[in-house]
Amino acid sequence: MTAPTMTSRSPTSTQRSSPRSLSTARSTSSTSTAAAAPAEDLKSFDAEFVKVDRATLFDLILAANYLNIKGLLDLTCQTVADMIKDNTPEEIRKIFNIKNDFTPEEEAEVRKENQWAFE
Amino acid sequence: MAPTPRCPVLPDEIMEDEIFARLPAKSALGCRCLSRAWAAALSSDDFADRHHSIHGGRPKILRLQDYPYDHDQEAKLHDAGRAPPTIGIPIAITTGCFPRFITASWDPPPPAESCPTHPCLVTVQCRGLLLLELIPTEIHVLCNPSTGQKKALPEGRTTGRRRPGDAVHRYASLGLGYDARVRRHKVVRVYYYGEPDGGGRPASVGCEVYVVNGAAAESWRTVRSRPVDCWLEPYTPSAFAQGHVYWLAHRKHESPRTLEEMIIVSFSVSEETFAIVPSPPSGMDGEALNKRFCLAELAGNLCFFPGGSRGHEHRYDVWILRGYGSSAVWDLHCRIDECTASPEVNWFMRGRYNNFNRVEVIPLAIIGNGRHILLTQDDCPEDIWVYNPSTGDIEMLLDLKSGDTDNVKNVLLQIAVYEESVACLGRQPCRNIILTSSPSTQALSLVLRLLPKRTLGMLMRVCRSWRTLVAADIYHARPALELRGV
Repeated sequence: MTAPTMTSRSPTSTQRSSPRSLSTARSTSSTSTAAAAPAEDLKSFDAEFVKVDRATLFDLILAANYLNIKGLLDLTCQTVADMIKDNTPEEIRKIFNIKNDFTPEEEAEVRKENQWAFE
Repeated sequence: MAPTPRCPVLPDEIMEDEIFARLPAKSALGCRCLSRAWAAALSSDDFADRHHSIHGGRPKILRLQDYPYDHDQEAKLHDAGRAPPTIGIPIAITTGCFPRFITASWDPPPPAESCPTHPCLVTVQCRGLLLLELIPTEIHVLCNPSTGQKKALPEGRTTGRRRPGDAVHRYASLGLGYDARVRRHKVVRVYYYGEPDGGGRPASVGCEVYVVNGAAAESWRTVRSRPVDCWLEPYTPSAFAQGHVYWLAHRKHESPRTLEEMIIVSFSVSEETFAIVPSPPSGMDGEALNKRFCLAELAGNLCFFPGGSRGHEHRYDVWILRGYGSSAVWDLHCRIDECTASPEVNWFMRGRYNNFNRVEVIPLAIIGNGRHILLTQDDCPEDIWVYNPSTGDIEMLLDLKSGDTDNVKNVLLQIAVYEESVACLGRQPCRNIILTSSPSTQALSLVLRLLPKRTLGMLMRVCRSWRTLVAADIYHARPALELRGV
């Protein structure tokens, strides 16, 4: 589906993002063993943490997947999902480097199937 | 952000299971346009299960409304503070979404009237799908509110003849469930037919099942098992929980004048068998028979909600059925009692205008990890409240009437809860019948379109296949009817 590039176990992406993700893992786990931090503080910390450029965000996803840090994976993937929610298919293809192998007729057919609305 | 040369590419498993599965249903299905491989992956049952595991149990609000869609009202609900983060902005299904009903007119020359059909909830939501009936027709429509897809079900077997002057009595009850073994939704229909018994109702009962988006033919399949010696309540929505569909029912008595005992009937969606569920203690005794009961699904379990007064008391009990089959146990989740409740709760139970006719209240969903219950009014709901059983506090979560002005009063018929779901309803059956049928049927369909609209009501009474053709045309090809100047 995507152009062949580095795999998820690439050491390069993990090396780039590991310091950032490891420090997060340490900070969130240490706050949970101490007195529980207020939920709003954690939420605003999370929101600030993912305010990075797309390449870093994708590196974080790969690192979280490789290091199996569920909380970080949930946060970063939800951020990407919210980002692409209202994008057109062409924009999504550019973001994820997906090649369009539909014929124009096939693509029109698939688009038509999604045209339901209540309005 | 333009892609930089070093922007990493995510592997497909992460994209499918973590990113696309977190999208709302409409966006997730829209991603099928990306490429052929994604079209296949996002249409698969595995993706539907993954999507449900993330979005299931997060209730959202659906309004069934009597007026055309009002963009201004939608904008007002978008204002800050109007869209609570827990349930989001309610979406609306209006009478304008469905075709108008052509009434039969035997008396020439007045033209047949076309009246709006009103959607009415027949079942509680089941994994994102729900079933509506278009009053006053008997057309049932399956719909997925999160994607906007809707589909009319084929007509089931004929029920018993209505008693004279009894225009509204229904002799068929429908339920919607999900069979986890085949990973498909099923609609079950219990119908009463034959000669009336001593009580004036048709004596025989039959049962049929329709598989949504199944590989088999788009029709009802008869089921051997049937509910015996009871009469399913046709006006209360049925609910699905723990692999079973539940209805309220009356037990039949030999003497028609005896007050009928009320029970709960369950249908196992995978086994396709019926059973009776014991009622909760002090749930349905004779004194409470005149009161309004309802079934709901709260946090994956069946909820039985008997409302009403005993004497001067007024209280609501929320009963939850834990487990299923012979090990099912009723648990009183909470009791809202007017006598011991706070003034805010009393205000809510009396309704917006604080009159002495109490408002019938129904539960919608449990949110906040079981800590809160969403409540609203049964008929013409006005607002949604959230109640905390452990503290007894209640507060208004969403005011549904806030968008009304003096000119535009949107009449809210019902409120329902739904989940985001990528469940597909399958292809529209009537169109396929016409396209794949014989040339003579296709020719007939073209001829019928040329006839004047006022005769449509009469044409639909000729025979079942003509009724299907005309209804299919009305439902799908109304522009074609109008273009030909009828």
